[in-house]
Amino acid sequence: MTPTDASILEDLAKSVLDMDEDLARDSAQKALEMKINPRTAISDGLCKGMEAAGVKYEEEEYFVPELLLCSDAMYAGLDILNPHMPRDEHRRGCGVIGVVEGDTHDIGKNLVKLFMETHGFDMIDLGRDVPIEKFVETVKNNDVQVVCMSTLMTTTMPGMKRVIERLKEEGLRDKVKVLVGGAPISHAFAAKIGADAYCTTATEAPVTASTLLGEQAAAV
Amino acid sequence: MTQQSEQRPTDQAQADQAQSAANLGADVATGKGCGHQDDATRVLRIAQRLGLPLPAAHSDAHALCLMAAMLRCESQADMAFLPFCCTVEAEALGAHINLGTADSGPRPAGYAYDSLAAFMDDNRLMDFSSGRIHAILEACHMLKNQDEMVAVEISGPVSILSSLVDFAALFKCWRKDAALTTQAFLHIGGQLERYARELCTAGVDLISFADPAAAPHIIGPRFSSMLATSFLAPFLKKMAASLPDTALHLCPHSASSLVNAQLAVWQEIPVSGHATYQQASLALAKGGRIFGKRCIKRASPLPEHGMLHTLQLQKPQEA
Repeated sequence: MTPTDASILEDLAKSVLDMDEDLARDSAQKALEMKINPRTAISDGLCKGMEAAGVKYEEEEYFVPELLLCSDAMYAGLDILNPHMPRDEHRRGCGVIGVVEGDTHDIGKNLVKLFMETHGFDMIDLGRDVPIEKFVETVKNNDVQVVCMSTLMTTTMPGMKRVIERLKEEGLRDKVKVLVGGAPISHAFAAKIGADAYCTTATEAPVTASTLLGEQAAAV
Repeated sequence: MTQQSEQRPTDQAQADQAQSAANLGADVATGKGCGHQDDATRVLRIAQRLGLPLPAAHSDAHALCLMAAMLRCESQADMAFLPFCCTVEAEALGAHINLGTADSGPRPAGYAYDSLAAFMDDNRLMDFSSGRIHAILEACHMLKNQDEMVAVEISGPVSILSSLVDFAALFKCWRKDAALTTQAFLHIGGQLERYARELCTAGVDLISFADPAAAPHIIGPRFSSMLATSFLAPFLKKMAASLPDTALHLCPHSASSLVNAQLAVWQEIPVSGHATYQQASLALAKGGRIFGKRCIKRASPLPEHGMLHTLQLQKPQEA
């Protein structure tokens, strides 16, 4: 890697950490002009910046607004780099994510999606206020390994349980790992409804998913 | 209960924060255990018990009155609380709200505006003659006619805007165009003042302000301080001056943001006799005092050490 390449990767990371969409776009364009592998530009540039933002979030230097602005910068760069990604790119897995029906609080969901993507998962985003059957259909019709559900409301927590029950009824439960999160959720609740894990923070989700999928691979 | 005249200023921010955390009955760091979340579940259950159809009951003054009264009895509270969600004000400002079902409460159904600038261009004013906000005002009248003490919670600008525009777009605008964002907050503040006057006319005894989407553990100290300075402190000053006969209460999250930004200090008011936090707040709030050390929805126990804490607003240079 040339010093210029390294400098462009640094700028990509910096653009995300500094929440600078213009710098992200400019640096992504420069990366393409300098023939830097788009995968490298994403993983060693944009994703490094998002990981650093995640560290600042864990350390309570960044909060939700900063992470949302960092993610805007990251997606600005991704929009330019993604069309140039090799098609046979190795990914860690595919996940489906959504806020369960009855709730529209999607900040946490968006952050989990972002960190899952940063860590190499392809995510199918069902959005917010998602009907139970939509989760089931998506698992049925796609090669999905992880289901991520979030809610901020106590009223909608039972919806998570219903999704898991429906996955069982459809014979799909063993196909996926189920992660749940959100302010009213707890480890005890996750265990009670039969989820595989409860994640306390957005940054925890990809690590947990990878660990669970690793265990699954080892068991096979 | 009698009130002593002596007031002792305190500025022990850290001790206050720790005490606030204990008093909230909620985890300040994560927001777990917030009174809003509990209400949502209880209201669905109470509507079912009363045989009131949902979601129609959310727009029916008589049903709202029945639910508030039963909720007050069930929780052994000293006042009946309205409304049961944070979307009423946003709806009155143009938000599209899905009122939910028997199993889920009202929530935004898409965003009415694609940017904060579009919201400001619309310059929409609250209309109190129709919609759920009208039903809330009617329900307040009905509760007062039944000799209930009535409290209404009004939502803050960040929570209201989170139903009108995408949350990320709001913060992007806030970062790049703080002046426009402040204008939006002040526009909403003006509408909330109008709403508060309507509530007072309806006989409401206590107005509680909460902005759950802007809790410090969500937006962090920087935005929290900006909100406290540009909106909350001037808004509360106006409210206290224009509604001297109405008790004003602040969600402890908002109160802590004012104290942390050095825009307010806590003062202790000794309280003699036996009173709940709600009773003491109602009795001692007149004259423009603002309380907010505890969650008004949870605070049934007696004030600790017989003290009630009131917020004294400060000019930034005085703090």
